[in-house]
Amino acid sequence: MGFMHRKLKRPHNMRRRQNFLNWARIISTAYVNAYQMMPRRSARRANFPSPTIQMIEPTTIILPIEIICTIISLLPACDVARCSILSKQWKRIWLSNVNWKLTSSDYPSSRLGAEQQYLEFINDVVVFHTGPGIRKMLINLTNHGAFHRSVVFWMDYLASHYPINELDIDVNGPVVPPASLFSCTTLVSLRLVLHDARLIIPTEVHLNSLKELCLEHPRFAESGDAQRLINSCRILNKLEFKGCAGNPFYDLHLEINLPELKVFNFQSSSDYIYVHVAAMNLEIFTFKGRNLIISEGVEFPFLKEVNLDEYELWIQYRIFNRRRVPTEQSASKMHKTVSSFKMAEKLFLSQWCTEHLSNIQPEINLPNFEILTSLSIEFWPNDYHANVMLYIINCSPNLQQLYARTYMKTRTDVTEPLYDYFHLQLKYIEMDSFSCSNVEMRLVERLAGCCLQLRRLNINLISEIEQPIRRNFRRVVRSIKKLSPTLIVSVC
Amino acid sequence: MARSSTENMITLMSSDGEEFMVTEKVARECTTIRNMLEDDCVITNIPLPNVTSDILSMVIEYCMEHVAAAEKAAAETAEKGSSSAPAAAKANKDLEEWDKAFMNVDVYTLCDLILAANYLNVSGLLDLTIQTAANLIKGKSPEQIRKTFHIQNDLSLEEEEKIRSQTPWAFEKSE
Repeated sequence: MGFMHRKLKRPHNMRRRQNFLNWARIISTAYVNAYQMMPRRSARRANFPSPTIQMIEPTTIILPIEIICTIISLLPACDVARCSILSKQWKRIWLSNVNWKLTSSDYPSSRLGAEQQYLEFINDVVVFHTGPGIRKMLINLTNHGAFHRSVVFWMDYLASHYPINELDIDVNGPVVPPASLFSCTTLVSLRLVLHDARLIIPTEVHLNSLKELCLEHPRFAESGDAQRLINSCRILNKLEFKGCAGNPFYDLHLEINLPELKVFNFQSSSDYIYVHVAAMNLEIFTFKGRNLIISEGVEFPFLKEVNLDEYELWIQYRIFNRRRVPTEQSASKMHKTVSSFKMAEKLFLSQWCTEHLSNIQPEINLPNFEILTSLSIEFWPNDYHANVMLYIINCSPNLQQLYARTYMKTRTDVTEPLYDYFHLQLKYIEMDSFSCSNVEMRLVERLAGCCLQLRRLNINLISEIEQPIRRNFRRVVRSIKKLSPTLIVSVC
Repeated sequence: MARSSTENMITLMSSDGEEFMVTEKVARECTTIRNMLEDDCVITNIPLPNVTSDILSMVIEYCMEHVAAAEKAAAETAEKGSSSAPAAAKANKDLEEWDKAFMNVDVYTLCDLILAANYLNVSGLLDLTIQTAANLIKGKSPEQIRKTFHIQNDLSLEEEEKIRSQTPWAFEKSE
């Protein structure tokens, strides 16, 4: 096991030294080989403690205070509080913990006065801290108590007294963040669940080190507030707005133009929020909302994953006959949006994206998706949608996985010739909520026929399918199975 | 593991006088040694008076495994042009498994390892050992923790009662 070379003393003679080094090299290679062949050496040691350890009688293990502090900082609040009872040394330490995780799992189970006790405990933790200053604070108590008023005080205290790095607040009830939070220069990561509290951003924002910002259910008091907040965080890496509430009295325009931004996640159902994206270094982009505008001439060369779900309200859409002006506008906008994601590796397009793309006049014309390896797409069972899907597959020479999901909406039986071509890379196809309509059958047959490398086809049927249709479907599956001996077709 | 002939060997000497020959690359995993080497590049013999030979051999074992894994990953990336995600994920998982097996030690060894990792500043090993220690504490009752870490209870009964009454909910679940 290589212990043999431990005892070797360094030779003085230069030539001997060279020989020695060569020898040592051989031994060390042998050491590596031997030890790779011998797994779980440490396990063996656990069974036979070495003599030096046996000589010491089991006595108190003394670790330096800073190491105990590091160990404690990895524990949930409940265990930290329990450690205070271990000994005098540990009693002093527990209040100097710099990293607090207060979650529902630590919360005292339904008992009288539990809420008050826990409130006092958090208060002690925040106010009577004895260590170098709290760095991380996670308060995640969505299911219990009413902490939303106290939380504002704790946030204010933390931001103004400690060099706090990470703050994660998720409690039951609306939380109005204090002004001091926005001038906390040490803050690196901030997550706030606001529950539609009216968010007032002070005129001076100094979040200079902030890299991750996540606001859930915010409601901005004025139209310039959100923009001011975003603009003041110049080194932001990750930005998330979830459930952002709009205001019918003004349109909120968000310009996302941060040079360092890598992850952007926006979710809102509001009609009054417009998101302009120009952050060209984006890697992961998720959008679920109404009004997305990709700035002119912006390409995203580092894109890895795009989830695009820009939806219409079904009722509004019905009013206009399709292929009229409003749909044409949204079609050309969607065309521009999807074209700007041509460097993506993974792409998800929702049903509305497919619908808008299918309305492009005179016909769909997208750039090649050269790097795209995985495509998820939602479609309605009609040939326009099937054609959009086949068109994108055709544009993506390196596509390997396809996940398609059928939505039963409208225009089920329009007949149009489907695209005709061969695809050489696609290996895996999954069809979800398959309803066995004519379009879907033809689509599957076409896909199975044109993808020469296809290895696996999974079809998940929707539950209510009548017997004759099911019989027809089985016939199609049998004919697909005959196409290639290596293809595995599974239906469930 | 191919070794280039230009690679330096460094002798590390433990507190009980045993000598370990390691390549410079392995030694550089320890930030303390790396700093020494950067200050004075001709050093070949480094005494480590705070680390015993068994613990030092374990630290070296850890460093060697992690250097080998990093070299393997780098070689694969160079071969294929770009790193393939599933292979990298598998390598990571293997290394995690190895770490897990490596941490199958008694508490004394664990604490000695923590001290050695802290002294030598091997950040990966320090994180690993401290996480292991934290896992030993998580969800246990005070008596169990005292027994595991051989902590002597020097608190008086009144003091203990006082702490228990402050945060009674913390002691409910474990007992």
